[in-house]
Amino acid sequence: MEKVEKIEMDDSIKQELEEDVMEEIQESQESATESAEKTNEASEVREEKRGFTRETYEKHERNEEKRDDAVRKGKEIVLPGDSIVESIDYLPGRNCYRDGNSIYSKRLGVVYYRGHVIDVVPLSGKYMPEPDDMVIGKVAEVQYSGWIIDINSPYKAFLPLSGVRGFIEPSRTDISKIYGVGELIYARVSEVTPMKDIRISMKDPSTRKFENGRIIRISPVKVPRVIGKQGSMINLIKDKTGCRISVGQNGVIWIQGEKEHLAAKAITEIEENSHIQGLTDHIGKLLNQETFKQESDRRE
Amino acid sequence: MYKRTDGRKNDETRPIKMKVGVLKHADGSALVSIGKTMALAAVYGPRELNPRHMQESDRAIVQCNYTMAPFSTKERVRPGPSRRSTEISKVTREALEPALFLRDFPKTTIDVYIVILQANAGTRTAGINAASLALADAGIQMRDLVTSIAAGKIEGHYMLDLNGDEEEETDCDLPIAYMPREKKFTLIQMDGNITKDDMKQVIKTAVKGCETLYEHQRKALREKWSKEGFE
Repeated sequence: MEKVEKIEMDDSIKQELEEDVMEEIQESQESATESAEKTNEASEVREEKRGFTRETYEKHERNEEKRDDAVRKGKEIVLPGDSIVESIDYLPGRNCYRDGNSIYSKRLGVVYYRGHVIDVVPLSGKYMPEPDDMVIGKVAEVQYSGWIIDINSPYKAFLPLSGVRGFIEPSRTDISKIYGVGELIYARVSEVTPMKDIRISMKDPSTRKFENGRIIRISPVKVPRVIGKQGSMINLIKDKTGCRISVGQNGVIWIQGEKEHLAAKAITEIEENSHIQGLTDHIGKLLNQETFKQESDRRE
Repeated sequence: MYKRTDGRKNDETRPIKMKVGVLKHADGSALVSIGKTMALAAVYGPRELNPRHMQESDRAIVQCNYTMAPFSTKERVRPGPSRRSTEISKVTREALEPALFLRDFPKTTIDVYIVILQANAGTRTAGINAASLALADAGIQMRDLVTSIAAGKIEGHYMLDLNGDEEEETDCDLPIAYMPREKKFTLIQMDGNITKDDMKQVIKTAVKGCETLYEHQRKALREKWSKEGFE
């Protein structure tokens, strides 16, 4: 869900940027020399570090944004140790680190700018739990005071009795009747400590236990692709196949319905071709074709 | 000028081939061949570490396993751990560890498996190059890629990347592992005798080789991942 928000934000930045570029073009038409002077001025000011006039500051911002966009649009991937920016005006966000004046990438990924914070969105890797993520987990062990859940990450999660709806008296109930070993649940990550003790909770109304259906696993970094912008992709699959689908941030996906295999096929297709443009349309076509094929088979 | 057996220049490496993502099942993998030496590396993790007493509560540990395939040399290599492979596993681990942000995933392990498919000098360096690529491919947090190559001195000439024949003639065989962006060494070993000044020169030669390898590594990673850029 977080990823979706990010994409939204980027669009708004893009719009702003387009406006800025338009302004810039007008400006440059008015007087080329003037703007050249301004650029010099801006760089001088940057050397002095502070003491911007409003005008130069805006110019500076605009230059920065233009470069940001170049990185974002260039589909340029960064490798571990690649320098992203050489400036103290930025802060290292996710998956990058500062060394001296520069910010470097920690991982193989794509650079995103969140204002003055730089994130590297990874292209591969394991799922690392973060608070408020929705995950699908399998009960690995039942203990006296709760359950240990495998959430497809290097760390097992703990679901305490207090994380379950209603009051349970552990001495009088067999808690394996609530969630038994091997059962699948849709839960919310409630706490992640620096020591990576993970707690999850089933109190949220959207959490539940899965009784039937099937599970497929994809790379966790591809989850935003499967969901799509504002859930466009997942809604498309739900509409076309009539399946119920839950996507865990940890890359585990639950599908239940008559056309489970079709939904599973679409999701695998997304995972394999996550880089192509117009993916939603492509998947839409694929689903239409398959549905048509099946119907004609049935008629025969 | 000393003529090298394969007609290379003194500061030239053997032909290098690198491919990332050769194994589907591993989290990250790479195949590196330098001349007639070929190394395959697979990385799993970070993953849960058992037995629990081996866990470090504030950082991940690296477990490195270097093996030579039985068919990798002319004479059959006896499978299983040996004095030599245990040592190389250890130095490989120590060459890779400084490049990793181990504190980002406490209590876990990162398992690195290196298999030498074909050996003709420089197997540990080929192994480190492959392992570093596999780690990056697995999406593990790293400061920099680790590159590794050996250099030596034959009849007064400093030679980069010795092959099997040259290794027997050289005064010294000096493998290094180096992080080109950080400009830090993570491994320096040496076989043979050499003066202090010569050693400096040999290391300089090797660093140059590492920079070439760095470009190859980056190219190999980009080759696999650039199309994944994104929408």
